Amino acid sequence: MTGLAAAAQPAQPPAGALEGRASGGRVKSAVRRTLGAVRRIPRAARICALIAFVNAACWSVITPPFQAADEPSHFAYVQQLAQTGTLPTSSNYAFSEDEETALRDLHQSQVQWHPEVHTIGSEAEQQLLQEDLSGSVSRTGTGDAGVATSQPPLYYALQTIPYGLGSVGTLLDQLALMRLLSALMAGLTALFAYLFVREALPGAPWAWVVGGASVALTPLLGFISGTVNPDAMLFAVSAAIFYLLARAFRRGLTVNLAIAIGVVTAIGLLTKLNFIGLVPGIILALIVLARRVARTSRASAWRALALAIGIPAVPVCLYILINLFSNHRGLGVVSSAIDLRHGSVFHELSYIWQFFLPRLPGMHSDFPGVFPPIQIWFDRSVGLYGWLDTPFPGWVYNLALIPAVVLTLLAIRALVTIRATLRRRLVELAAYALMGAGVLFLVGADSYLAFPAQAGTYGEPRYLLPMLPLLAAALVLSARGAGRRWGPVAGTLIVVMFLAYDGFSQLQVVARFYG
Amino acid sequence: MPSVRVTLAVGLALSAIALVVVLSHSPVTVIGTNSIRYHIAIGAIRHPTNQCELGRTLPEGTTAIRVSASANTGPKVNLTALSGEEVVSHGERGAGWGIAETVTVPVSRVPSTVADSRICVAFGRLIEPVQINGALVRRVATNGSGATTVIPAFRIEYLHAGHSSWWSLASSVARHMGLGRAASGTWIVLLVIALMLTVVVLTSRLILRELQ
Repeated sequence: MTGLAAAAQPAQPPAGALEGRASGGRVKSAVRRTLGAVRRIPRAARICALIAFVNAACWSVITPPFQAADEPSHFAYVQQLAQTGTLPTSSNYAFSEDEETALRDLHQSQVQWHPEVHTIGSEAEQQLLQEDLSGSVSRTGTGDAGVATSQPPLYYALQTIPYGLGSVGTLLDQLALMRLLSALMAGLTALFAYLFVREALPGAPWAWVVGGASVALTPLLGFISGTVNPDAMLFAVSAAIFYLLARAFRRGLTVNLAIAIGVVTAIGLLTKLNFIGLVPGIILALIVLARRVARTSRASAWRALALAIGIPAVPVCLYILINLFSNHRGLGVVSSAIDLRHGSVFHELSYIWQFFLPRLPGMHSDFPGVFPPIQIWFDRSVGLYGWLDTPFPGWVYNLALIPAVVLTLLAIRALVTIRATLRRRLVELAAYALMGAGVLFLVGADSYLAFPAQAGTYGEPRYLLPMLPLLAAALVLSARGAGRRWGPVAGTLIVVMFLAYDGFSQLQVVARFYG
Repeated sequence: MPSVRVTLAVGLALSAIALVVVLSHSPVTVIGTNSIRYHIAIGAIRHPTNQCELGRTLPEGTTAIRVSASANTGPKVNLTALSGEEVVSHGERGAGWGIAETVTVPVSRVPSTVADSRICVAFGRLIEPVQINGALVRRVATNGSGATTVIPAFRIEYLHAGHSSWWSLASSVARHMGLGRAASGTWIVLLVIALMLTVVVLTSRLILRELQ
């Protein structure tokens, strides 16, 4: 174009500016859509999310650095990813000089598993820690990330953002910011738990808040989400999938919902391998939902099913391929968990059953002298923090049985009242039950690998928290079980009880580490 | 029927009272040991057993005894403190304890100091070996032959509730909390209190708004 011709043209911005304006518009519209979506979330759900976030942030301050299960390994994974852009290669425990210095100066190994030993307590120790971390210590490790090595990278990749933001400070600054990202995920968990009960139990809107707020105040959620641990994201993603399935069961499986289920499942599989436990239940739910859609349109049903299953299949296939090309077993550590050569199938099933439930007649006792449902799962759920080395006094666990029994009876009463509805929704309930059973099976199968040399490994209640939405539903039912007249009062008592329980749990941790 | 507002107020008041009561108690402190040094995994117990050890001086007022044993899922523990053949204290801890490298057994209060006590630790049915964390000690055989054997022994600590309440230790705990983290200083405690109060206020407002 000549100069004259160009002058004759109406004044137009250059092409780059046009693209910039267009992309700016797209960003604005995306922000508007996001804000609109947030505004459509019920106010109570947003407040539940805020409570869970603030609570987890509080836990993140209370829990000393690296005094939560496996936090040194998870931090090492993030550091490896951020510093080198590569995944960890070894499950050994030789971390970067930076992390090793922090662990040494914090007396981490002396405090871990020793409830009688407190964290550093003198100004001199603090000064040494600050000086050592501010010095020229290398942040690049040898590729070791301990127990975290086998986990998929999504959570760790997200954590490289706060890690990077904190890199102007010391490792402790980075850790504090990373813990806050986990705390945000606690907010998402409570949000989706609320939305799940809203979809699954639509009959009594006043009771939804009981489930959402109680989950937000669950001390174990706050504790885990107040540390660097992919479980924090696993809980959020699991709650999201429960919500999406409940929505699909109530409103039908649309294409958008199928895509959302597929994307969230893919995120779950890329977050932590434990998510695999939920997959059989998700598949059952999708098949049932697709069959319902097929009554009106067979093509729509197939499309929805293909999207919901196809999207998460992509990362799984990639994972298997990467493992096979690097001479590992196809499903990585999951292959070991489902390895049946360790013993007979029947014995493994019997062990897993006894790990969670009362032993049935005819089963060989794998836990002699111990009643795992109470002495492992209930007691430890009531309170066991730090590196599982911070319990309550023994009487607390006995006392906790009283409200647990009362709440169970109230929930059963509510279930009896709505039994006709339950019968209609039996398949939906079966899908949720299968999701829960899958989680238990995976944990039990992993525990069985160490048997008989060890019994009860992985007896950690945090592994059950992907089922938090079901706890929320049970608590909603407990409140409803008190009847319409007394229900709100019962609901108030339940939430206040969780609030107090959370507060005393935090005090227990303060006493253990700083007392 | 009580209103939600009244229920909330009563619930919060009861929680506050419980908090005051808890903080008025004293933390448990160590008042003596059996002088065995602590080393991890120096032996293992594989069958139900009753292992007696020299307890050295068992202080008056002991209300709990900490034994350096660990397991994933610990068996039931019965603990007996003896002065000669006389039982001076006894306690029990149910099965299911674990992970930490010690197990604390609450015992009946020791009425007076015992100079040369013996502590017998009996483990119930084991589902996995119990790890002994302590030291190898040389013991003379009791059959009069003079022969000695080396056995793994637990480190044992005697605990009781101290004299200072948590209230009086508040400033020390606050100072301690301010150390070993990114932003150091006692102000951390104020941040924790502010966060906890925010949770209480948000929860209370949510209850009043949704459950009234």
